[in-house]
Amino acid sequence: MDDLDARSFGAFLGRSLDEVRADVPLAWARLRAALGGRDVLFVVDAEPVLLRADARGLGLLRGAAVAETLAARRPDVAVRTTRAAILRMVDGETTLARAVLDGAFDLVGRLDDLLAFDGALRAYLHGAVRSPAQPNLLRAWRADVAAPPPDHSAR
Amino acid sequence: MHPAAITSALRRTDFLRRARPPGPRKEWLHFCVHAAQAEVMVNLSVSDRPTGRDPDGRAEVARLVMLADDGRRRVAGVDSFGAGDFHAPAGGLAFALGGSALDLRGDAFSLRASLRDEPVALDVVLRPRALPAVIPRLPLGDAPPLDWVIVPRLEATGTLTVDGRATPLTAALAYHDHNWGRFRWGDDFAWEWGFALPDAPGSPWTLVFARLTDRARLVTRAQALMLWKGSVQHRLFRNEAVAVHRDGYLAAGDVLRVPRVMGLVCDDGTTDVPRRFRASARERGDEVGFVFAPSAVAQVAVPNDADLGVTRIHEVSGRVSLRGAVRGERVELEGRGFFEFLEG
Repeated sequence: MDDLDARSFGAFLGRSLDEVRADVPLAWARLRAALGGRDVLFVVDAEPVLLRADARGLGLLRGAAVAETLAARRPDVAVRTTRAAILRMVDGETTLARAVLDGAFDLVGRLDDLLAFDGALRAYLHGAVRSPAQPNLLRAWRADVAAPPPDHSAR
Repeated sequence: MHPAAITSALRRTDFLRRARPPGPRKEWLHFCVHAAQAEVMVNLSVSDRPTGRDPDGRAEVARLVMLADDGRRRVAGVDSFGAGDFHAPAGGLAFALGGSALDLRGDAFSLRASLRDEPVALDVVLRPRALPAVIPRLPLGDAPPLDWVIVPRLEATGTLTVDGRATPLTAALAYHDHNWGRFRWGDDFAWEWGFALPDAPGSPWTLVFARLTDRARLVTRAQALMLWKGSVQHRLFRNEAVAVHRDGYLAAGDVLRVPRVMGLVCDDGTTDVPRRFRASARERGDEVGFVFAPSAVAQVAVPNDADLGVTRIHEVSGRVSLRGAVRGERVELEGRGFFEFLEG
């Protein structure tokens, strides 16, 4: 990963999902089943990333493709957070529930869509903790946590 | 007993199996050191983990688990190493992974262990002071049985370093054991296991306890209370001779969870650790009982092999008080205990 891409949440999530798919097929299947045909918009440090679940599988859109897709269809769930908040959860300094209650992990959607997202998130996390590539991916993503996040405003 | 005799017995029983053919193999070497102001646990393991990448559905992984308390801070962590990043040849007692290594040199173990991302390191020589005991074929339900070698008393000399502060270890009492088997985390079993070493190093007594049950802890499959006097196993009580009582639950409080990332999938904030754990044994005129009072808990969360659940292994420190009589001789042990409660 180049320096800019290393800090990108979309790049990290894409690689992470690829590893889960290859290493933990059961978790991947649960993740896809839980999402159904839903779209989940992540905005991490102002970087938009769209996770699409459809008949073809799971896809990840970044950059201009996100805005084009959102112009045609609203996401079913929207998540707004920061890399620092995500790493605090990974490091056990807070829980997901506490991060939501504190507003550090903002979730918007209809209740049944949020429940589906919760199931998908848990399936992904269960896959990630079983996937040996994840620690190095996290390490690379974390490496520039002191540096400002990439500027996605021009994309 | 002469150290060479103990070492000879170790080399005949305590060697790495690295069983063939591949399967859900698991094998680990466990060391605990209890010093006056510090305690440290090191677990080195190698196992098959399920993976979608391999046509056989398995890949080897080695892990180092460390849990240390230098009296000022508790630190814990887990490091993993893929095939090619560790060396643990079958038939020997050498294990190298990352910057950590275990070796049996002469009449003593040499153990250097440190974690990548936590400020803890151990450099110690452990001299066995008890003959190993082999406990084969512990029942795990549908899985093949688990085998166990126990070396319940060693003397450890070296240094524990936490946050850059060095704590000397001088002839500190220690424990070692070694397990191997073929099972999957998430299978239908649970266990309670523990040991106690006396505060007074001159005391000859050492306690080891184990109980294996089904996962719901409704069915006891095997249990044993073992006493060593000096270097030799002095008394073994098994199964019907042993009674176990768990009193209440320890408040979750300050539980050290490792690996920290597992908090994302098991942050329920509860533990299955009893507030007090008691066991007694009675057979042919001999009678022994102990009480274990937990004080500090670390939870090692292990992703199940069999499903997307989690197995929680609670590593618990506390105090043990043991009384009894064996063959007309009074038995008494006051000391520190280390127990493990496995919860599904």
